[in-house]
Amino acid sequence: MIHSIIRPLTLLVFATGLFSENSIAQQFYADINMGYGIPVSGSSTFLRDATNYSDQSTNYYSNTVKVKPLSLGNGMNFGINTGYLFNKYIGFDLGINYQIGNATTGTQNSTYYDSIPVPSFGKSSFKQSFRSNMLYITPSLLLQTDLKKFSPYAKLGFAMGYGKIYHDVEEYHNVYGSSKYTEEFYGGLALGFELGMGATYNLNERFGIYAEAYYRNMTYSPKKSTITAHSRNGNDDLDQYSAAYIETEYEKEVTEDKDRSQPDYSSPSKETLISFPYHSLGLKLGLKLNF
Amino acid sequence: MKKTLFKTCFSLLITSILSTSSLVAQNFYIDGHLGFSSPINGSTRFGANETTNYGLNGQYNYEGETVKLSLGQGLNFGINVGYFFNDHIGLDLGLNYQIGSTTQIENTRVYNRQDQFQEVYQTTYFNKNIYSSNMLHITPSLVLKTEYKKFSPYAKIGFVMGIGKVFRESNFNQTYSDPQQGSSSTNYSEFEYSGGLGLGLTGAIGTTYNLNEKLNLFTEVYFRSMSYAPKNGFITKSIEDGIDNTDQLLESEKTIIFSKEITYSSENDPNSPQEAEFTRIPFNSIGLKLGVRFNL
Repeated sequence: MIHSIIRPLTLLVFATGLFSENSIAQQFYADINMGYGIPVSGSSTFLRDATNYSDQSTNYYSNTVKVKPLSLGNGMNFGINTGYLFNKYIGFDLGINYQIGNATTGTQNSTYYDSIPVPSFGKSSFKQSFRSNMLYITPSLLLQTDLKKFSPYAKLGFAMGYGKIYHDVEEYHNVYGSSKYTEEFYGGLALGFELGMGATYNLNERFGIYAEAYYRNMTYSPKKSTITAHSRNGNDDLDQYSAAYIETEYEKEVTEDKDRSQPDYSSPSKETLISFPYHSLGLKLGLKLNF
Repeated sequence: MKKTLFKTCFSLLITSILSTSSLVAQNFYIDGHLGFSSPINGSTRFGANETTNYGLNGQYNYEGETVKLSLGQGLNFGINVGYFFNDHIGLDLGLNYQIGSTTQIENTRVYNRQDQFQEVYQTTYFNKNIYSSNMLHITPSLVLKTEYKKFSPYAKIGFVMGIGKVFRESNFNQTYSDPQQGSSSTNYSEFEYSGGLGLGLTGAIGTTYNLNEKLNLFTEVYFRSMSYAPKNGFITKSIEDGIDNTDQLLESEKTIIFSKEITYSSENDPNSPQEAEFTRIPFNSIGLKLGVRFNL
C-alpha cells in the first residue's frame, strides 16, 4: 500500500517540475545550518520516574509512578543542504544533518521494611537513560515563492537516519552493591518523513539567510544491541558474561527451537524488533549560497 | 522551549504573509474529498504475534513476529475550507473523519507435561487483542501553491487535532487437557478508550487540475503524525464462558482513568475507578486523497 502511494507521489513531483512552462530561475544552491530539536509525541513505554515504599509490619505500600515520554529526536543538530530549483517555485532539496542527542532519564527509588523472616531494611535505586546520535538524510520536494526580500518556502520529504542509541543503566542496592552497564543499539536504517516551513531573507543575488521550523516523524528499529561496558561495585566484569547476555539480534520474525536442558549461551539472543521514536520539532538557522 | 519554537514559527509565517506585495487573487475555496491511509512508524509496545510451545524435557519452540501498531489507517472523508491571501499563500482548515482498520495481536503459550504413567497433558493460554479507532481530524494548515496553466501544485503544513475513540476487543482462552489442572474457560471483553485530544502535525503535497475558474479536481499525498493518550477507558462488554457479566463488574473493574502520574497504595478505594499510567497510541500514517474543489 505504501508503495502504491509513493509511486504516484514521485510521478506527481516530477511531472509538476518537468512540465512546468515557467522554467526560469533554475539554479543550484547549497546551505549550512544549525538547529535544535525538542522531542514530541514520545513513547510512554520506556521510562518512568517511580518511588516505591512498603512496610510489611503494617501492610502499607505506596508506589508513585510518573511516565517519562521518550523520543530520541532531541538535541543540537547541524548540517548542509543542497538543492536545485526547476523553476521559480519548485525544487528538489537534499539535506544531510547530524544530531548530537540529549539524554532522557528515568529513575526508580524503592524503600522497604520487611518483618518476615527477620526485620530488615532495603533501599534500592534503578536509573536508566537513552540518548542517540544520528545522521539524517532528507530528500525533499521544495515549494517556494518570491516576495521581494523574502522567499517563504515549504519542504516535504522523507527522512532516513543512520546512527546509534546509547542505553546507560545504573543500579544500587544497600546490601548487594552497585552495578552499571552501557548498551548500544545499532544496525539498520531509521525511516520517516520530515516537514519544514521557513523563509529566506535574500541579502543579495548570491547570499540569503534563513530560518526554518521543521518537524520530523521517524522511528528506528535497530538490528542489534551490544553491552559495551559492565561493572559491579566499580570493577569491570564484562568478560564474565556470555554472548547470549551481551549481544541481541532483533528480527521482524524470530523462530527458535531450543533445548533448555542443554542451554547454548555462545550465540547472541534473538528478539522481535523494538521501535524507538525520533519525533521532534525544531528550529534551524542557516546561510544559503545560490550558484 | 516548545512555546518559543511555536512563537518563532508563527511570527515567521505571519511576517511572510503580511509582507507580501502581491496581494492579488484572494479567494475562498471549499472542497470535498475521500482517501485512504496506511500506517507508518508504529509502536512495538503493544506486543508481538507470538507462539511458544514448551515441550517435554526442557525443549521449547518459539515463533515471534513484530507488530508495529499505528491506528492512523483506514478510509477517510471530509471537507476543507481555505482562503488565499495572494497567488501563493493561504490558510486551510480541514475536517476529516477516519473509519479505522483493525490491527490484531495474538499470543499463544502451550505447556506440555508428562505424568508418571507417560501420559502427556497440555495447557494452552491464548490471548488475542484487536485494536481500531474512529477519529475526527481537525487540521489548520498553511498552504503554499504555484500556478501553471491547468495545474496548481501545492504544499500544506499544519497541526492536527484528533477527537475520537480507540476500540479494543480482547479474547482470552485457557484450555486444559488435564481436568486436575483446572477447567477450561473463555473470556471476551470490549474496551473503549476516549477523552482528551490527539495532537500532532500534518503535511501534504498535491496538485489541483483546474476544470474551470470555479471547479477543480485535486489529488494529494499526505503524512499525518499524531499520538493520542486517552483519558478514560471503559469495559463496554464482558462475557465469561458465554455468560454476559458486564452489569456485575465493579467500578474498579470496568472503569480506568489514565494519568501521567499515579499512586498505587494499600489505601486506594477498591470501589473507585482504577488508575493507570497514560499510554500514547500512535496514529502516524501516509495517505492519498482525491477530491473536488469549488472556488467561491
